[in-house]
Amino acid sequence: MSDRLIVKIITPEKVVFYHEADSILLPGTLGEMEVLPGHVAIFSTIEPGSVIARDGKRTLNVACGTGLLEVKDNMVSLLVDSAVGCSEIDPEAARRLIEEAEDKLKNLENEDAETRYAFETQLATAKARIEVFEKNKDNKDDYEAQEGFSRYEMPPVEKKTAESGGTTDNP
Amino acid sequence: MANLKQIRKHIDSVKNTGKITGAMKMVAVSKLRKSQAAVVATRPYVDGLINVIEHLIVKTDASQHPLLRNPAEKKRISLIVISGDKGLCGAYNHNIVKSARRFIDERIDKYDHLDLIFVGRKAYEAMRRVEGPKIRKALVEGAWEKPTSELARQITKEMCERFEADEMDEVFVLYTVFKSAIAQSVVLDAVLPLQSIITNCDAEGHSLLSEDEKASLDSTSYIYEPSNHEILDVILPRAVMIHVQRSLLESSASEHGARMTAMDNASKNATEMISKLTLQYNRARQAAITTELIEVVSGAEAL
Repeated sequence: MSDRLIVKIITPEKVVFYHEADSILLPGTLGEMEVLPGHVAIFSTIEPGSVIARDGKRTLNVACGTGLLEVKDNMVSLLVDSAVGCSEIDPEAARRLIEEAEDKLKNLENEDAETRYAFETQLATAKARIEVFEKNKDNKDDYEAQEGFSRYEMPPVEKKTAESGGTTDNP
Repeated sequence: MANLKQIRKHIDSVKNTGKITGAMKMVAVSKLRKSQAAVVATRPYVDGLINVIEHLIVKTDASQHPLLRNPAEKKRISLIVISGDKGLCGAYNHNIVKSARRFIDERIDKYDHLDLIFVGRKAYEAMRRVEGPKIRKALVEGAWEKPTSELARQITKEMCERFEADEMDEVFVLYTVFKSAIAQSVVLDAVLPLQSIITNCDAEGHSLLSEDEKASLDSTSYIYEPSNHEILDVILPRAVMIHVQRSLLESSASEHGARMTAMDNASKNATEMISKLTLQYNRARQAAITTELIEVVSGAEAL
């Protein structure tokens, strides 16, 4: 299976997605990028946005927060702050977050770069959620495809946790 | 007879208490299961982060990053004390408070400043009287109502900023590790400097890996986008965050475990008490009947 990608999308709460895929489209810091099988090894930071993984006819579309991408030997790992699919998105809540962030950004001017950055992230994450929601809410096929994907929360490929396990144990 | 009535009332109230403790136990069991799963679920993220940090430390002079600085003199300290918001969980909160007091008593002389950050009201309330010119206290309001990653982010954000700005030298977290429902132990972990998290790196942020291990990490040449430093910017605060989040989750599992055990004991005691009281009640009832009989018989004899 070396000609296909194995995609992992991991948040601090859980493994959102762990499955084979043909391609994955994601918002890198230096611009949107698509990872195909045979991609060179890379570490890249990820901006909040929509991530699309394709596997044959099925697609998975989730809205991700800030994070990191690692690609190595067709293993694609996404470590992100959050990742939600269409069915988990509450558009009202996302719109409220957008309003709040825009409001704060307007009043903030250029006081504090850190806070500004935090609200910009909030804004971008919420916008990505709306985007993913709007794109998928009417699309029955895609939606079903997502359902199909989310069933694969457990890895269909052999999970290699043993080698890296134990390093995080507290002394 | 008044005595009989009293005992019956007593039995009823013990039964009610038993029902409550029984219900609380069941709730604790289900919550415990959830929070244990949550602890396990952070593993892949932690492993991923550590993997990346290890790569970056080999590749770059990671000690350049402000979050990786390791102050020689540790004078300004933060201690995050994680306890519960609610009681009725055995010695869980008490143990945390005891350890926090010991920490302060033993170390306060060495420090210039000690910020105590309380997560959970119980420890905050218990340590209200702990004061001193060096001590500053803060409570994270409504901590346990929030999902843990959000809470952890909120707690660590300010901490990272202050650490980077050289206003803080060391951050500890005091929490309870869940071993089993009956065994939990209080643990003190250093969160910052980050060297405590990245196990194979020395105090200056240089890698401790052998050349072979370095070579094996090095064998794949990664592209770093946008740059090493910016990746560290993204990843290091998250490493701090996940550490605190893990402590929160462990604590939460411990709290539910402690409550489960405590409520189990309480329910058992209630059952025991009910059987004792029932015996007492029956004896009293028997005695009353006997007395009445004697009265009737002696009344009849008197006629």
